[in-house]
Amino acid sequence: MNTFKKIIVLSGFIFACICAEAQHNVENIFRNYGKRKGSTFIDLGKAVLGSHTKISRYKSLIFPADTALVNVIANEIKMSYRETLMESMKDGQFETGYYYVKMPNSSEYAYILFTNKSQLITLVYIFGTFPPDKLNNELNKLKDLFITVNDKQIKL
Amino acid sequence: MIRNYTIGELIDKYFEGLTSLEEEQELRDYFQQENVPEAYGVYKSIFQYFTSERRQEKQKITVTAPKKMRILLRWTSLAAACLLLFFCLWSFLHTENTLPNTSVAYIDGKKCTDMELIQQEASRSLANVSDGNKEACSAQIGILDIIMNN
Repeated sequence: MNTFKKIIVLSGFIFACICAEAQHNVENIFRNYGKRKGSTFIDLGKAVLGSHTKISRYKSLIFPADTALVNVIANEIKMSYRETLMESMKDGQFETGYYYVKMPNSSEYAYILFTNKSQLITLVYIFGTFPPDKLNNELNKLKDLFITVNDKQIKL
Repeated sequence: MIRNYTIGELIDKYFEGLTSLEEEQELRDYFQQENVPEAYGVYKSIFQYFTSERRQEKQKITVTAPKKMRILLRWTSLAAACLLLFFCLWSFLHTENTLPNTSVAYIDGKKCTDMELIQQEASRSLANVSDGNKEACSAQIGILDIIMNN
């Protein structure tokens, strides 16, 4: 194997490792804060998502956090999910952010939606085969799904 | 041994395949000498040939062994790298993004499988991030309005 091929293989390997590591960083937030007192962690299964949307994974976490923790988590997300769809700051603090990362050699995307209101962080992890410009459509489909699944109107 | 046999006897024994390794070595050493009787001249060239062949074989072994080791090491490291890559990709694809069969919620650290509650909480999380988006858009529009008016 010549040097050029070695470099290509090594680069691919490092890239795949970085992507996997990035995913694990955010996964760790869900793991660490998901089961704490005051937190609400949701992991939707096949029965809910099924084939109704292109979202193949939906996880959400709502938990209380002080200013320092908000900054730590926001930075962690921004380091792992390098593409920014939308971001807003208030009083020098991250308030809302939509970030994503495209999976290597596939049409799949991983999204993380972050919001911080009154020291309460909401994180939503979405994985699916749709590009960023279709994210709102898929979120709307999901909202509709929640309304019809239990034959119960849920105001959003 | 040379002392117990004459060279002629030892040569006969050698060609009958009855010599020990030690005796064969003694024969090779004997025929390395300069002064070998003419009667054994023909054997001298044969044994010298065997001796030189043995030396070359030894050299081949010493040269090829590290090369084989290097090839083996290269393939082993390649296999290890592939395994590691496979493990990383597998954990990345399966741990993170494999859809669970049933929905699960943890509220205040307690596991909950009530579908109605799970969907209400999922809706709440969606509403939180959607509101944030709307507020950010409104703020941007407000800023743009101010800029336009100025």
